[in-house]
Amino acid sequence: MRDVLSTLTRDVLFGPLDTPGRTEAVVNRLRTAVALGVLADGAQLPSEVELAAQFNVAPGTLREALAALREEGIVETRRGRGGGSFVRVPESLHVAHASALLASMPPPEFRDLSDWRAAVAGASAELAAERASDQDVGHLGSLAGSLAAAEDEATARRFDARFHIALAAAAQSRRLSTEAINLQVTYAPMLALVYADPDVRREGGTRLAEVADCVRAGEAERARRVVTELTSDTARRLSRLRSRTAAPGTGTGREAR
Amino acid sequence: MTQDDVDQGTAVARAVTRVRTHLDGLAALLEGVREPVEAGLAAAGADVPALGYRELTALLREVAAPHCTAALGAAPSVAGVGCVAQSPAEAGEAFAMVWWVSRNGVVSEKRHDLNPTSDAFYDYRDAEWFSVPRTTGGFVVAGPYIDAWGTDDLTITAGLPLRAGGRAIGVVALDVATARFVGELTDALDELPQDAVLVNADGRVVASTAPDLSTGLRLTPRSRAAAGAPAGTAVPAGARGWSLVLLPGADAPA
Repeated sequence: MRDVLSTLTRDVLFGPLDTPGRTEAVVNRLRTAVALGVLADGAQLPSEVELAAQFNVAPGTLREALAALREEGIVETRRGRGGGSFVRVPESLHVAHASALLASMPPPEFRDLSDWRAAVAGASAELAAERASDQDVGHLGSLAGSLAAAEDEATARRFDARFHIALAAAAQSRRLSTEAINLQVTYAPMLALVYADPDVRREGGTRLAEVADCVRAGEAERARRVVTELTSDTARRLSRLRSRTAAPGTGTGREAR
Repeated sequence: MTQDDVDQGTAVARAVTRVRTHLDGLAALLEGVREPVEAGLAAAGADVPALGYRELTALLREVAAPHCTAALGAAPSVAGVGCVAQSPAEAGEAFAMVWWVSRNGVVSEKRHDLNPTSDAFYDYRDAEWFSVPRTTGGFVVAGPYIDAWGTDDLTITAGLPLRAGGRAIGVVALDVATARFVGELTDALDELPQDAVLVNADGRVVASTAPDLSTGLRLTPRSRAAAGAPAGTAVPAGARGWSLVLLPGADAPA
């Protein structure tokens, strides 16, 4: 028997970086893993050697990333027997992480990723309206309801991402659902910023409920339009927040471009 | 009744029998895992329903590993086998799942994310392969469906209830190697004189010889649900809610 295989989300989070040597990229990956709960509060991180190998970065780069995360209060290192690096989840994590992720993304990159998210969601909605089962539709409706009723930004972000993944699964598409899971890692953490506002959570839930209704009714074009409008509005809100918060000196970019 | 009708009836009966044989094969495979796992749990001497999920997971892993890995090695049309239980002692919130997969002939254990507060949480509670055996006490073949956070692919999963200490604690389940399994079912339909579609209880295509109806599609798309199912003759294909739909072809007898 071989070693243990893990989930797609973990593969995305802990896979090799295509821009090796960048501390900020390692920090963002590890912070995302904590924000998504894939590294739970109190969990022990794999050894530095193991993590460096997984990310395909130099041990020095990984140590710098861990130092930065220690400073942010997300990683705690204990020495001696039973020692190691452990995960801590500060209260402010989700919004702080969302801002850092958004700030680390150059505007054309953010636009491109937003376009991609709209494309994946739109295609998923259109196909789901033909292919979803009644059980899929019920599931989509209940996820939309959970988003509308979410009491904090992290819960809202979680249900938003789960809705998009369920939509892609209802479309019966392996590729779309894989992309939706990728976007849960690369894009969804930023949603914590817009969902800090309860009105936006309620509005998001209402609009996703409308998508679920379109899917139920087999209205493919309308399902695509409604979900694409929502993803565009979200992207617009995020870009505005970005230009407002990205004042010089307040960015988290440890390595200026 | 013409000779053509008789020939067609025989061909349909033969196709249905072949489909049923494949399903019975899955049930027998699961039975071959369940029996020794239940015996192993009984022999462990623990009060299984009273265990917390950590202890339950450890015990399941130890007891099930040899039988699940053996089943994977013996059946090339199976891609994954495992046991999934909910600790009755921690109802609803704690999960015990042990799973093994075969990729290119190499067997590995697969860990799912079972933390309910994780964004990658594999929530199988409402999945048909898990919920149906628990409510009916019987065998189920679920899918095809996209198994997000599980296989992350188009999947067909069979399940059988698992009991311990006189209580239902979960299921033993297997994922078929979808392409291969569907290929075998499609072969069973190939002998029919016209296009045929094997659909599950939801009306979703499992296997098909009709060019525009591939595995995973609905026989009737949602947008055309009001117009009803396409013209065709449906024959029950096994006791699992599946049916074989014979589509009227251009050259089919009127």
